[in-house]
Amino acid sequence: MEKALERQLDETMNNPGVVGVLCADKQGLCLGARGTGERQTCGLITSLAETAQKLHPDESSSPVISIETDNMQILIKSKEGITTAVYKSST
Amino acid sequence: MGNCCCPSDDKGFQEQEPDERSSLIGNHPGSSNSPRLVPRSERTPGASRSDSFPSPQNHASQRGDEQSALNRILHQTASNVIDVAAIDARSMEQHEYLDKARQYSSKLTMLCNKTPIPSRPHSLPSGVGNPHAILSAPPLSQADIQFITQVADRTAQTLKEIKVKHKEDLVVPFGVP
Repeated sequence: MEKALERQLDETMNNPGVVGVLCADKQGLCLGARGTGERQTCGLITSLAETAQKLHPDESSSPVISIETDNMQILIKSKEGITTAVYKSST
Repeated sequence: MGNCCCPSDDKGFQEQEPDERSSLIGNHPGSSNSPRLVPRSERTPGASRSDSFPSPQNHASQRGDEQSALNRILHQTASNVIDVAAIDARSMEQHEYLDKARQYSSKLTMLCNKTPIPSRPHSLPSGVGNPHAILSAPPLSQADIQFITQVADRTAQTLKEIKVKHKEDLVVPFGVP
């Protein structure tokens, strides 16, 4: 049943520079996590995506959020109520 | 900058002890016991007052009296002068300075706590210490945007395909023969 999602997460992890993946539903429930993506942060990431969507309520597609730290970049995007976060290494 | 307060009270002048206007020799010819007033016109600058006392044997004592009278004038004038500039320039004591500084700072803190500082309408978050570096940073690359968009699309599509497969009965009878 969820094997397709797990396979999808593994494929994402195989991309160069990707060190973690998170997937959450619209309530912030964690649906899958890989690498450095921590399951406890799913709620925060979903909340960030919802807040960013409010900046452009007329926009049909949700915005891409990029959080940069000294050694990592987190890309967040929502699609049809599912929020996906990809952790990329900066180096 | 100074203020000289001359003694304006000339009444009772004769009853007071002799000053610069009283005669140095009480029994001057032509004068009574009262001190002799020397007209201002007689006191020409540079001219010694001893010129008006022709007695040569009293010259030394007269000179000493004159000197003491001059000193008395000087002291009296100095005591009547209020030097405002000197008062202003008086340096504040260290503990006084510290007390005032503490008092002002406490008052300032009290006022600052009482009235909230109005926040600027478009101020950046306080966490942004160096906004120039952040605003001048290169934007997110198009490749990253395409990558996360594709991953989000695929994930949403995958989750949409999740179906609950019915394998067995939801109601399981326990112990029912």
